[in-house]
Amino acid sequence: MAFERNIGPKIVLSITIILMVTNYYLSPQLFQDIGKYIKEFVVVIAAVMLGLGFINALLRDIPRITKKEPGQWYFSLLTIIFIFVMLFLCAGNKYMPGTFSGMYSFLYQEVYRVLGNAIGAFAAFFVFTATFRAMRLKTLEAGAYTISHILAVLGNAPIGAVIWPGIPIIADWINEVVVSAGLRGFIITSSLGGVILVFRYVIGKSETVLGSA
Amino acid sequence: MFYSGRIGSFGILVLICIIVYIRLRQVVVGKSPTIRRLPALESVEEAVGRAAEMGRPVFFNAGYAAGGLTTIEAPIIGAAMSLLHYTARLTARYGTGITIFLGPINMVPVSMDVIKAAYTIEGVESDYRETMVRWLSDSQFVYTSGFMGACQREKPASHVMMGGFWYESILLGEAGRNAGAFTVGGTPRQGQVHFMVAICDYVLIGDEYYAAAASVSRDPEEIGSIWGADDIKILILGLLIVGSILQVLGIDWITQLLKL
Amino acid sequence: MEQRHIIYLLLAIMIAIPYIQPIGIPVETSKMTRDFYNKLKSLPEGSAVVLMVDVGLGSWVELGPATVAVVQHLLDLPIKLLVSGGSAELPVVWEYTLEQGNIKLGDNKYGEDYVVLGFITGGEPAAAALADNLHLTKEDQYGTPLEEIPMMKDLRTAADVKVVLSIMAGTQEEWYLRQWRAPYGTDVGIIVSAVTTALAMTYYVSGQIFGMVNSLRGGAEYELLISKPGKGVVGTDMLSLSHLLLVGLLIIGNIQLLYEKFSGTRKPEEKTGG
Repeated sequence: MAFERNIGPKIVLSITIILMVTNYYLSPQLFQDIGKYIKEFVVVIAAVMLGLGFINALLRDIPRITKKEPGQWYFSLLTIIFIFVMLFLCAGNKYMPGTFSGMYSFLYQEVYRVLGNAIGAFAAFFVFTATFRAMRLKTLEAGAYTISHILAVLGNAPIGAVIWPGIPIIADWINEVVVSAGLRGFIITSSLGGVILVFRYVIGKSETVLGSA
Repeated sequence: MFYSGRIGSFGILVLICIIVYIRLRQVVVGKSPTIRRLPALESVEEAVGRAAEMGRPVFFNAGYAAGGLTTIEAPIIGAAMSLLHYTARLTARYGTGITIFLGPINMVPVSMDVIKAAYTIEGVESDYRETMVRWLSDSQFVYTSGFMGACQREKPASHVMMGGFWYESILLGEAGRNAGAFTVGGTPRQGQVHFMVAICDYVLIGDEYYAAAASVSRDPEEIGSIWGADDIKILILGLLIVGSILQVLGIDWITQLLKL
Repeated sequence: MEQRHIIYLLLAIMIAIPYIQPIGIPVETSKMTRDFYNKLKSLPEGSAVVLMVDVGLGSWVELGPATVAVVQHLLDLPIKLLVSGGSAELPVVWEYTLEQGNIKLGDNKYGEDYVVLGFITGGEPAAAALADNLHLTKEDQYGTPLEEIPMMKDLRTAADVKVVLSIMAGTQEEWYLRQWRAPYGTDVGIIVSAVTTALAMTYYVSGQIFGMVNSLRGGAEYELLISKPGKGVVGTDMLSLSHLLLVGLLIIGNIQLLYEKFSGTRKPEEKTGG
């Protein structure tokens, strides 16, 4: 049992990583076929995980309903009801589209879509308040942050060019030079972190992905 | 044998592995780099203390990070688990409880293990509840709205948001702030750092996030990785400077070497 | 009423005004949108283009106009279009795009000019798997075996694809750069939300991405490029007024701060939420 829990998964992980690295760098057909097979297998696993998510949702919400967890059980009940309603409509839309497509489209496009857009719209309001709170000329850095933000914001909107034709030019320069340079540093370091973590998986020096902290 | 144009990058990959391996070995025998003080990390204890005083919960958010452990987000999520463990230990010590909100389903068993381990180490395993881990949804906006609703209903005293955030970081952060929560954030994701800086009281930017995870876990492997990563960054910086100067002078052998 | 509620109200008013009475602020086309458009226009006849839908309907308000304009442009060009993506909402997004955008299919025939492969779960590995094998799903979204679809006969891997486009709100451009462009040389273009534009700019400036359609504004620009103005153009007025409000609020807030600082009436800041 100890062998299966710790060593087995680590060996599988290491071998898979090495095979995927060889898939990218080495041209012989064997490595290409193996890599292709592994990638397709991941797609299958990911699809299975979707089903697992559904089961997890039921396992999480049903106890809340049965135990009448205060402040939560009615949300869980609604969640379960809507899960099954949409499942039923999806199946109906696939096998009897004439009967069910109208209700399916309505629930998806006019309820789910609108709710999603409303949540996305929150971002606009929240960005406003966060920006208004954060962008103050307290220090030199904050001042630079605020001024470049103002230029970038105006450059992104058509009205910037109307106010002064130079605004889009400066905004583009900020995006293409300053922002790109800064983000390149981030991209390099985060990619490096990824490479190092994967190397640690290969040599068995990390178990985070296997469930240990 | 090798694809044309990829030998250079393979060479760099091997060099990275060698450097990191050397540093990992050095940490194992007792050497270690100095990780500077990270105010954002220290503020996590302040956040938990605030929750204990106010008698309100601590929320932890590891971000939507779609796919979780199956994507390039895996290092971020791994570090988030170290930070979760640290935060969970503090909450176990102060008796506030913790709730983590998750997007990727594959993180649920991992998070449960992490929190349970933290509570066990602090000697309060009986305080651990499975309801401390709340999987919301694999859909970004559903996950976000679920968290926003939880903030409104439960009014957390503190919100620790450390992990792989996408577009929802501003929504999660502001939802916590509107509920009155003290917010500590951290992410290495380049597209979200600016939101975190605007929203959070304290923030870990970029590699500070990984350094924080390494310093709280005191895991030799994590510390060795940070150390090795720093060495490689110095090398890359040197290569950039030397390469740029040579390129301006019309000498492009570094570029040609990398394109091999 | 708290300060933030006043800000929300002002924002709502500024967005509502151009919705009721459009202003018609002129929209200049940016270089990245023009590069995107020119690249697609210059594709040889019969080229294969893969359109990956990696967003759901929740992003429709921001990315919908750009999606509609680009899809219409693709269907007007003499190219072969494959539609797939990592979003589980792909089937609905595709149908919604055709329906809401009043997309004219023209002479395009399903199976000969365009095919919808359906969504493939798995994130970046799925993008990689699709690049290695365009027949990954074995059937299209409607259950027809891919071997029976005429346009799929010559399309096997990403090497047979000239361009891959992604409609995205995250960092999926990195998936296609790593799994399509690096191994197969497929050119990458993106239709992207405003948040991700800054990130993706790095790749655009270095030439790894040939063009970007930047959220609502880019959608408006693209609508004007294909001479079919729609909701994108209407939305840019709202964009302009709301951005103007933000700048105005920042200026007012900072004037207040400086006044308090120099008059000595500034209160110490609290480091707590709210």
